[in-house]
Amino acid sequence: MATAIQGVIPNVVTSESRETYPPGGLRFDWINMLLALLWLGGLYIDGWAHNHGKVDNTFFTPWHAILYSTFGLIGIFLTLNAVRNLTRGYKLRRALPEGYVLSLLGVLVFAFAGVFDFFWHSVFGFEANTAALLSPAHLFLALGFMLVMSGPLRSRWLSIPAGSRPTWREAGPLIGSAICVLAVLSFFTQFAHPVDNVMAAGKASNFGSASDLYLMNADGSGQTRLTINTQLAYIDPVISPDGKKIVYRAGQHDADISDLFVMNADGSGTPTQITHDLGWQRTPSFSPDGKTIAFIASGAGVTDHTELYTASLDGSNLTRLTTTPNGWRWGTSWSPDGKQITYSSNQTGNWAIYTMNADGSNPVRLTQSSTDNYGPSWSPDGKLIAFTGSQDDAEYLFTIKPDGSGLTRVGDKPGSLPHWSPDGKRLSYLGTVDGIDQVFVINADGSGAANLTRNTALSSDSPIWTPDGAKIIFTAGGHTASASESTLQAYGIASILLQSGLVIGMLLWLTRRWRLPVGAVALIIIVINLLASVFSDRYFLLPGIVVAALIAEVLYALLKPTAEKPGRFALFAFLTPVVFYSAYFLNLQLTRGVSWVIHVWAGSIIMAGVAGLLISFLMVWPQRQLNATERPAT
Amino acid sequence: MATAIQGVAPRTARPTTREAFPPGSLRFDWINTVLGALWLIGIFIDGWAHNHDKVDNTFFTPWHAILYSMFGVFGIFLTLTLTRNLTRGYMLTRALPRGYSLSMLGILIFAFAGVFDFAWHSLFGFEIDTEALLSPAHLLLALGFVLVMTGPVRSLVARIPAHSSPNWREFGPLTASLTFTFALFAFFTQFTHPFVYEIAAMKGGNSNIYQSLGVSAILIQSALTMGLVLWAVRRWRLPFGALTLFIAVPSAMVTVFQDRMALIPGAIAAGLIAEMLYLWLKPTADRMGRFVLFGLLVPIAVYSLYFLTVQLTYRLGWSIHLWAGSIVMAATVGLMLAFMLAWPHSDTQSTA
Repeated sequence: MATAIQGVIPNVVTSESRETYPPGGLRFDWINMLLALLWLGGLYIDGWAHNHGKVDNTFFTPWHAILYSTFGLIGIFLTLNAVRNLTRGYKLRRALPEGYVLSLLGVLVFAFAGVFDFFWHSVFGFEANTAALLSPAHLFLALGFMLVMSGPLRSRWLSIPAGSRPTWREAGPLIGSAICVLAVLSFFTQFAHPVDNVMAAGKASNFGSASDLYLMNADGSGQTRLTINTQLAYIDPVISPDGKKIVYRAGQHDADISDLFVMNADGSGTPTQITHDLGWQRTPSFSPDGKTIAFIASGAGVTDHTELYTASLDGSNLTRLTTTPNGWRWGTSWSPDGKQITYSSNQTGNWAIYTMNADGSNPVRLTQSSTDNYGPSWSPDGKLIAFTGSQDDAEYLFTIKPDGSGLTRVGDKPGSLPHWSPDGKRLSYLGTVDGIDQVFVINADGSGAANLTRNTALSSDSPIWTPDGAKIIFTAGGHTASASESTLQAYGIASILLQSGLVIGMLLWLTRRWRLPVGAVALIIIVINLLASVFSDRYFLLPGIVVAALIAEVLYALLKPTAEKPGRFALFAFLTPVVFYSAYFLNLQLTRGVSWVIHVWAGSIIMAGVAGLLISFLMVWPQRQLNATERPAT
Repeated sequence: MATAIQGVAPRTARPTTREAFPPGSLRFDWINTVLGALWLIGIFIDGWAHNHDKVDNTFFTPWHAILYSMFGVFGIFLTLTLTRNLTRGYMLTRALPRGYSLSMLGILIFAFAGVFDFAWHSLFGFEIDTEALLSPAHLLLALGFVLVMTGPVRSLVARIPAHSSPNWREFGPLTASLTFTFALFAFFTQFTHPFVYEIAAMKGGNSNIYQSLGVSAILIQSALTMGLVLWAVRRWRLPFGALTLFIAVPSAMVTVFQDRMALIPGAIAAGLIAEMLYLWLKPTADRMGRFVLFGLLVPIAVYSLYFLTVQLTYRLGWSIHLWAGSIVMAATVGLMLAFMLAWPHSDTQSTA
């Protein structure tokens, strides 16, 4: 019966020496490798979910369930084996076949880090993006991954003779385990991965300013990303009174070009464009009957003022309501009876709140102060208009009656862009914490202000309530739009150097010891990059990756690189990244276009090759002398 | 007279076979190192001028004059030596002492790349910032310099036995050449170098892209430094001071581009801590545990002191996740490189 579980020695055998390891075996290595691959799948599914905004700000997500249950499988398998071997008389430090004791340690580290992670999140909130990958709890988890997953690598390293040409049957666990280790390294450096962040495909104005639509419960839980885009700023969402449609503005940040789109509120289907050729557009709002939107637009080619327009959801019935050629307008909101629209304008110098009839007639200025007031939101009962007003060099929330009387400050903390909850009792607004904008709610009487988003990495914007009052829609994105072209290039090149170093490092490390079975080089390159492409759906890069992997495989077969032939070894190390990034840029050019100038993309390809070359020097140069001296007398 | 020019065979000597090299000498290595150092300084002055907007859009700047005249001195020296040895009967490919043939190739590549650079600029205009470092002409110039600068490295690696304890007299040219070569690597990766841009303290340094670039920069430079350090540690018992040079000099040199000289003391202190660790751990490739521990601890020293200096001078803007995580990840880079170097790769080493 005991033979059913590999790695456990038969009952009848007693360990001859307390210093020996229990026998391992190829089957034990295969089982461990396959369990490690499953677990790796769990990790990448969780990473995919995080990058697709499908993760609540809670520890208990279905993705964590997959991650921790696949961990449970390999953890229980290793622990069970260790316990059995302990009962057979092996010492604790020899309780698993040789190479696997560190795996057992890894299980403990991961389990500890999981608990630590839970508490860390509970105490400090959730990190996002780069900070999340580098948080101490997550680095502990990474250590656990590496220790457990490298078990078959250590075991096979000891059992496959150096310089041999192992078959797939012998080397399978080795290759699989190496892929797992490399994939974990690649996962935790995804903040700088050219297959994830395709910096060569865009202009500076499109990066760093990209933002997406998010949805969360009114208590801040269940934050979910509704859209995925890395190019444009999605901003100013509004939801139809029946809760089924969201209209938003998509455009290049600070650019003169933007348009309004409408999408299904559940994120299904493809968004359709409402406006065309109307220049710079912002702040749409729904009429109470849900048939018309009011919004701000500059008009085609106009850059020195904006006007207020209305249109139907399909873009028809486009009407310009304001006709004052001087000054800007910004922010729109309908009265609950649909007869009036409130907006803000600086047509008289400073920004002030106005109302007018829904046909554009009878504009009335409500706020009379000489400071700026903007961004009005009409209360559901029609009795108040909330807006952003400046006071003492800061912005606060204010309310005013539609007749211009009763100006009142809401609360004593700075904030902007208020929006009424459907019951009229609360306001959502934007507040700033440590320089990063967060979505807050506050009672209409100024009490109970609370930060809902608590996102330390992304800047939030334009929060609004859903018609049932249960959820808040907002946008979030990188909070500095001012990264220069040069910085973005530097970031793109750095990520290429980093990832080419990781992959070629692993390939060379394996190659120095063995002649890898046919297909191993291609498999490693394809799997690692395929996994990296799931985070931001970069599947359009796959053809180039596959072609490059196959060429690398051919290079491996032709050059037959070994440590004894440093020239071939170095050539393979140089050419593999060169081929990979040549294919990468070619693929990019054919799909989305390469925006980098030739210096930068060609230079990146060469520098990636040099990274490989340097690593190969590190490993084999100068080999002759090392061989002579490092082979010790036995 | 011939002895005045090192690397030239005595007039009386003739090559014993067609395969022979002219005899090298430590003095020849030293001369090459010093000429390389002068040339490198010329390159850094030009880089400084570019970073300080002191460069007109023309090829004919005073900075280029320094750069190319330093190159000229070196080129003339090697060409003269080569010519003399040719007249003594050595083959063209063996006309310089062992290790220096590639240096001559480097001179030719640099000269060609200089002309190419001039033509390139005339045709396509001048690149700016990152583009300039990656343009084909400039990468060719870098290749030329590296081939020349590594002459003493090739020469001495072949002469100094592995696992010996070389003294400074023989190890000096090797250490200096390696240091200057890696200073050039730092030069050409200055766009992703924490000692050029201290992103952790910059306004806007907390946006996703700046955070990612900042962490990547630390990983890349950590890999370069630790690659050099571990490579040397594996081969020799290093004299005191070599590690400090390897660790501090390339980083210190690139601080001049954006006037971040305040970061230099931290780099030197980290180098000295590495020396202490080296004396304490005595890492060698056959003691993998110590070797790996050394690879892990040195980046921790470098980047702990780096972030401390940044905090004291420019004030850190990064959260603890980021700066502490960066230190740990830089250490992981050192750890992985140490594994890569020391993990037994032939069966004679692994006696399980």
